[in-house]
Amino acid sequence: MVDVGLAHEVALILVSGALAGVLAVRLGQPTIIGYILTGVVIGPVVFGLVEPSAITETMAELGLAFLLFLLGIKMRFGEIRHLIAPIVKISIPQMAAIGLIGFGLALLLPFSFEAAIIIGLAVMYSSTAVVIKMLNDKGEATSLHGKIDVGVLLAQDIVVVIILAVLAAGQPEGLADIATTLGIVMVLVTVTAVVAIGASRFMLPQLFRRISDDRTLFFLIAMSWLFLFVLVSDQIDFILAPFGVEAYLSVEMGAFLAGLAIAQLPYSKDLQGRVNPLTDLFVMIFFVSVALDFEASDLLAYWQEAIVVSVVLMVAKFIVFFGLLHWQRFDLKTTFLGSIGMIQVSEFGIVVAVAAAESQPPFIGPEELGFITLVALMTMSVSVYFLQYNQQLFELVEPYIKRWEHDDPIQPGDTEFRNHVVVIGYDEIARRALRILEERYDDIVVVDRNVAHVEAVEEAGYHALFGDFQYAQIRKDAALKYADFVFSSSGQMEINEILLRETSDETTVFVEAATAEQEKRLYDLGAAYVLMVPQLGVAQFIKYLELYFEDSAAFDEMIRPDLELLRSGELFPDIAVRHGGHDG
Amino acid sequence: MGGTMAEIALLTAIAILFVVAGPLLLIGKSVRLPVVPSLIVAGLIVGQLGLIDEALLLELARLGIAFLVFTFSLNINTEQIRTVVTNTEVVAIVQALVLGALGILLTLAIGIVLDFPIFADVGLDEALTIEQALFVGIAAALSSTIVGTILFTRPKTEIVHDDLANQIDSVNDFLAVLLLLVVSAGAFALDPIATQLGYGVILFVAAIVINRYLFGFIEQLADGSDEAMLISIVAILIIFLAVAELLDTSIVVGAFAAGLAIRGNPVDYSEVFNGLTSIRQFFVGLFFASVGTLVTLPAPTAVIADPAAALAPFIPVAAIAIGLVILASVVKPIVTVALLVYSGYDRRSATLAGFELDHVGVFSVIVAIEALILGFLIEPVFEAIILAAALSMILSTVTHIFDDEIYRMMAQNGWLGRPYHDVDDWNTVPADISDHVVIVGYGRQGRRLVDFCKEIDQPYAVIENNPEALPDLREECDAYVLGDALETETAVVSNLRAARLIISTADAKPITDHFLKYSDSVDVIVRTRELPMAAELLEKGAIYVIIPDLLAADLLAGNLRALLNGEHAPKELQEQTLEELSREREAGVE
Repeated sequence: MVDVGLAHEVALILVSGALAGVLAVRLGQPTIIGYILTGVVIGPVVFGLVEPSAITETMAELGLAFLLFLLGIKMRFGEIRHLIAPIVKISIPQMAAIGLIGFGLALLLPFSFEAAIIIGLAVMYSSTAVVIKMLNDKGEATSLHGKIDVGVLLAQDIVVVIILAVLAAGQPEGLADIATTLGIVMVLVTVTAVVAIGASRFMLPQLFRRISDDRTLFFLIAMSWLFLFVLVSDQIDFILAPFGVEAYLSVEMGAFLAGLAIAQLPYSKDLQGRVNPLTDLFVMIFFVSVALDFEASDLLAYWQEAIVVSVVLMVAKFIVFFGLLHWQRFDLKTTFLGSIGMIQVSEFGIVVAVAAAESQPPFIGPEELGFITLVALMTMSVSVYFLQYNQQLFELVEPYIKRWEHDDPIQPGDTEFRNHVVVIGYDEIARRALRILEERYDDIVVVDRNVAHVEAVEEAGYHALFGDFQYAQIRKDAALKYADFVFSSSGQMEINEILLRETSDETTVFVEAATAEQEKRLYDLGAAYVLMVPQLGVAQFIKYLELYFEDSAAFDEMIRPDLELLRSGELFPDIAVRHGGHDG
Repeated sequence: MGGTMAEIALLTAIAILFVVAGPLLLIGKSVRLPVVPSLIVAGLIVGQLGLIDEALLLELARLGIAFLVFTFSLNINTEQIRTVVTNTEVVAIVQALVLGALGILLTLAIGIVLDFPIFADVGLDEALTIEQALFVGIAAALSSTIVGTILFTRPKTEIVHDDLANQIDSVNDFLAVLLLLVVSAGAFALDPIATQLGYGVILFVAAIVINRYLFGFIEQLADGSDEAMLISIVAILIIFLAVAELLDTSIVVGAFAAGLAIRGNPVDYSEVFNGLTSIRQFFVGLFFASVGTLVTLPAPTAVIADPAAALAPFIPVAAIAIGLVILASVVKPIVTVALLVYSGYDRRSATLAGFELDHVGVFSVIVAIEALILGFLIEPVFEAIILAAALSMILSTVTHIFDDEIYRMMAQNGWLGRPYHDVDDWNTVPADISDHVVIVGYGRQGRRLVDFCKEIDQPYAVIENNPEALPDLREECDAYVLGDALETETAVVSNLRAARLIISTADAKPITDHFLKYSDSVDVIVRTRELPMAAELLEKGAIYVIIPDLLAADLLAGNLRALLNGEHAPKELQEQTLEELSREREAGVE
């Protein structure tokens, strides 16, 4: 007999997390702070109401996996190619410097040599979860400093994976041992990446094309793709065991590569919108559970040292990043914003520390683990505020750091649309409108959920976005707010209402409606023109019929252009080519 | 992170389910199979490996049910509730009652047969009581698509049989939710029913209070943050689930009440609602795959080694499953067709609607699993219901693809009898009519065309197959035929051969093709929504093809150009179109 109850620890985490999250928003604080504090309060540190269970741990792991998947989906090679070289040049010296500083600090404080090595290895990464969450929330993930931070975080993640693999292999017997483990991990990451990128080039386009019209299926297949990589990374030791290879890959790395493969397809933007809420939900559980694993005594054993190390590390990280970004000739603002976000110690630091504590024999004890966790929690919490107010901070300190401004910094390409046309849904009516609008506007963005349409639109030389207009991400990418003319051939009332709400008064908006009530409502909301397609269609057809009965030669002449178009049988006759005399 | 295969972690279990489901979903897509059976089959396959801790998995996956029911009640909350019951809904209820009764009889009969001495080795450990039979009855009765209407939105349709199927489905949805509430309120254990119902009422009252007073406060707190709103809504759902659990009633009751507590406003919170959709899709996908893992099939190796011993315990399960499949796939369409024809629908629409409902509903799976968890349902019967659901959904896909062919075969063999007319005035076309316009379909377009014919004194005849249009036809049309356009009888009484022009406003391939057969002697105009289809239709003899978008585009082009050239201010444009459309309104088209 199946005996299933509601997982009460999940319930408690979700509810108290939500409460704290809402309070945080209300008080103008980042939600992450609310989540972390929730974990401290309901966990063993304060009240001990919740212990982590298989389900909470799984949901937290899923949260990280979704977060990295989401990150992967955002990485379009075309957009980050020019950043790869600077990112490598920044991340390697940065990790080395911070690792050494951490190690040195730990030696000055009462830690053993071994523990100091682990502390050095644990503190050198910045927090993927915090930085990406904050950048996403603030809409800065695709800004230049956002891309740099994300790139550096990824480079750090690769290093984490390698360190974890080394730690998983137990106390290394020598340099050769470390080198072998390193080699295997590098090969695995490369192979997985090649498979992912190969798939995105040769297999996924056809696959997703076939299913893109079915939203649920599309989403489930994307999940299946994600979990394929999660499963392989998670079970790589099991899969390779028959070959006598001991290997390690992180779930996060797998999820990221799965996302990377999808990022190169036109569907990535659409998928981002759908994975986002799942990530929000599961990442919340992740942040709440960070503090759940600790007893107060372990967590607070070295609290004074933790405060000192946290402060020194944050300052050191900022200076190191600032120096390196400056060296790479980024402009002052990018350098500042890119550095100020990266000052915390990562949750992966905790993961590394946990692996070190669980290694046989252990490298560190529970109190050192507590110390590293406390440093991570404190720096994460503080850095969230720096991220939240990064722009204001920059304005504040700009006069004092002005002398580090380059004369000719690297300029990011600006691809944002302004005073353009947004067309939602590509059909016969939209096609006709496009041909008229193109005479007047340079930039026309067409949003559609059908791949064939998107391809036809791109071929005709317009910008095309694949996705559902209901998602804010898509509206943002289309720069709806700044459009001069919006034409919606969507019959969905919600979409039309949303777009009328989001466009400014100066924007001319044409929308479609099916009924008179809808028409009235849309005019009330400020539409310039509401098309009632069925009614207009009938009205036009009746005009044809009048001719049919009165003058059949005139009827033939009237419908000739239509027939030509219909006979062509093409779904999308080349939009640039004009048919018949329709446009007068 | 990650364990070994022998004692696999929950994350690994979830990953395996999704990985196995992927290819099955793709195969399913290529044969037009819906998502749910593919997911169940994926679970079935993974379940046979015996790697998964089902209880733990289900604990997480059961959130899928919660999200489904939650969304359902959320939608009730946002939509107007109608109090009038249509004919079709009566048909749906009668059909459900008949099938339910047959399901109960079937199970009881199997129970009696299993008691025979020759089946001594085969029998179940527990008896097939009336309680068990009741659940099989529910499974047989409901073809509901709570998942179909909410999870997988269907395009809106003017086609009568699709519309019929949708209406019957939504009645089934309501019945299913009602049953779930009753089942989970413990109504089958008669003793605590009063207290259980009391708790239920408390939950609903709490929900309404939250909706009225607290929700606005939460909205204020969330302060426009989509994330805060999303997690608040999820938290409200979870609180209701927890309270339901505390009161010893099912999470279904909690989820339903939670849906009522939320003030749904898809426009203000489009991101939040999108978010709920993704979260639901994830958990619902996980749920159906998990359901599959609960079914234990006889291991193939054991069957080869000793077929008799391996299969014996499975025989009762198979018997109930096969019985259920026959009820759902054969008996249900027959009952549906009989009831629909009796209430005035033509036999083709009735048959095609029947083929859309010939499966065990997705919601029956949820009823079954809740009953299993609450201890009302024994495992073999549960497994039978799950197997029958997956199998009948797959069969249903086949009948759905070949529905027109099967209908024609049945009609030609005389299995469907003669066309049935329950009203005397089904045909008002004068016998000597000629040189007339035949208008197929009395929808928005059809009505406008009739008005036009009246204006220019052109004789016409309307062909319509939806009996619901009859009152309007009687009042507004001089000449109409109520019946299936494809019946020979209809062609005869509307004197098709002598017509001047046939205009088919029905966007359905079989009907379009049927009228194009007359294009040698009569002008035929047909309608399609798909532009690529038009070339083929012209080839087949249509003199024109109506594509509403194309026609509307012609009108739009002029207006848009005028606006851009500054010849019109937007305001003038509005007035002008309103004027153009006023004619439509006067004609009572709206």
